[in-house]
Amino acid sequence: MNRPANHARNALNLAALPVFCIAGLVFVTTSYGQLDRDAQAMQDFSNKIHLYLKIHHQAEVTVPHIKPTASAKKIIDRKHALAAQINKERGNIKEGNVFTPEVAAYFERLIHSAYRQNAPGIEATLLCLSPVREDRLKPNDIYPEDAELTAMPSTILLHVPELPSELEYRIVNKDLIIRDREANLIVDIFRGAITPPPGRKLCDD
Amino acid sequence: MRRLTVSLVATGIAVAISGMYLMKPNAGTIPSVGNPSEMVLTIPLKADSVRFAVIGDNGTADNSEIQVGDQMQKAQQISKFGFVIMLGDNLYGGASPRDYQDRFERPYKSLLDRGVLFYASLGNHDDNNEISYVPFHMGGNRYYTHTEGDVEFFVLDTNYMDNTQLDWLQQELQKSKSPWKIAYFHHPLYSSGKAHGPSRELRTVLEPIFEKYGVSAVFSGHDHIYERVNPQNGIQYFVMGASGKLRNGDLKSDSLKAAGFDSDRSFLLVEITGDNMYYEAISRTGDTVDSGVFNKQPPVSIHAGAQTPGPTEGTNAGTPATK
Repeated sequence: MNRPANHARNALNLAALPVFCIAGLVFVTTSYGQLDRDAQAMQDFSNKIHLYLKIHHQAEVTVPHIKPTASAKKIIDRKHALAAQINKERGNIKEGNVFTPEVAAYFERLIHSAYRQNAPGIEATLLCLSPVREDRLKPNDIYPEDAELTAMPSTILLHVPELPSELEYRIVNKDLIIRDREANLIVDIFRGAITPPPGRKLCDD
Repeated sequence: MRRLTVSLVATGIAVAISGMYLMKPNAGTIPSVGNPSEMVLTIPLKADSVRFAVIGDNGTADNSEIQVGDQMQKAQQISKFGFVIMLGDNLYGGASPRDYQDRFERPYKSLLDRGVLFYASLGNHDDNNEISYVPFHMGGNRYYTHTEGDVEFFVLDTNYMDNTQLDWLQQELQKSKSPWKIAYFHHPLYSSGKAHGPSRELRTVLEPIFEKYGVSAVFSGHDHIYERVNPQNGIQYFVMGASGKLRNGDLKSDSLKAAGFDSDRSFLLVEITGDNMYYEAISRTGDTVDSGVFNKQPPVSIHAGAQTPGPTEGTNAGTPATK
């Protein structure tokens, strides 16, 4: 009884087939294009991180690693000396030295993917705002010593490329920064990397 | 007389408004520490047990931190605990050598002088370089383990929980032969604190690992309260983030909370013997505000008399509990 209707549906399906094929081809091509761009961005990012690490290790020739010590002064003096040495060796490094437009776009997609997986979790982790004036966040500057560092959302950490142990990602205000842990130095900033969660509140503890 | 009555009424209203459910004459003020012999502990002090103290969010350098340190000293004289685990925010604003002195060396001088060891974890206010500070015994690592008798401690950096740390944790837990596995770190997986509450994101990644490898107890800080959480899937969770900072009245009343204390600073004393973990939370003024025992296998809390105070519950948290 439904045969005429089935015929019509089959005809429609056949007619739609080329459209689906073309759409599929476009999708696959776009995806491959995206994959290529992502691979390129990833490589670019990796190169820039290695470049920074080289400078960090060069600085450690002048300011050697210290063994654990009971002297707080030695620990703090070494941190400051390392920061000064790296700062000197990097010279007038500009914002975007690591987060080039291509790398930033790649990170935007990774962060978006992390949000798709667990937006409530990320937003809860970032609910406490410990604001730092944007003009105090500059590549090659000390991360403000009077400002706390909000915990990095683990969902984002599990999506972005891992950094060597000398470095870490942090989210400050709406920005993603790369920070040198030992020198407390800002390596680079990706401003506006995240959307502030609704209901974000000031925290001082 | 009338002025005195008005004053007393006003004080009572102020205390009620501030959400203090523990009506103690000295709560909120800085009383003297008193005689060490006045302290009576509820932990059993059994031979060959592992005893330690727990502090969190302590590094403020103010009088309250020093007074908690004094109570710890009294408890140490009685219990002879050998070490202290630190749940992070060890040095608020630890940017100068003076901060290390004021926020750590001075408040705990008597304990340090007696050879008590401190094992720190990093909080959101800590400088990463604290890992190189010998008195914190971190060995230059953000995360590490240490073993005391039958207990292995897994110290994590929850500021930055990446794959490398998660892999390390699984490997360390897998190879651990210790009957007791205890994890501690700054951000709580469970907390009834209103200010921060639980880190559900961390819970998603850490809890399955803890359950898989038989972690028995977890200590965290960050919320400036003391809380004993009802055991979750056999794991006993504690929040101890009030050893220096305090957020008065911050505890929510919910089914998560087994006991809590949020009207003064505190620290925790723990004794592990056999399959039992005895715990005793002690306030800045030397009162036992929670105590009991947690049995590792099966994981059931069998504490008796531990209070479940809360602003809406109106029970007294100041009376020493019985075991």
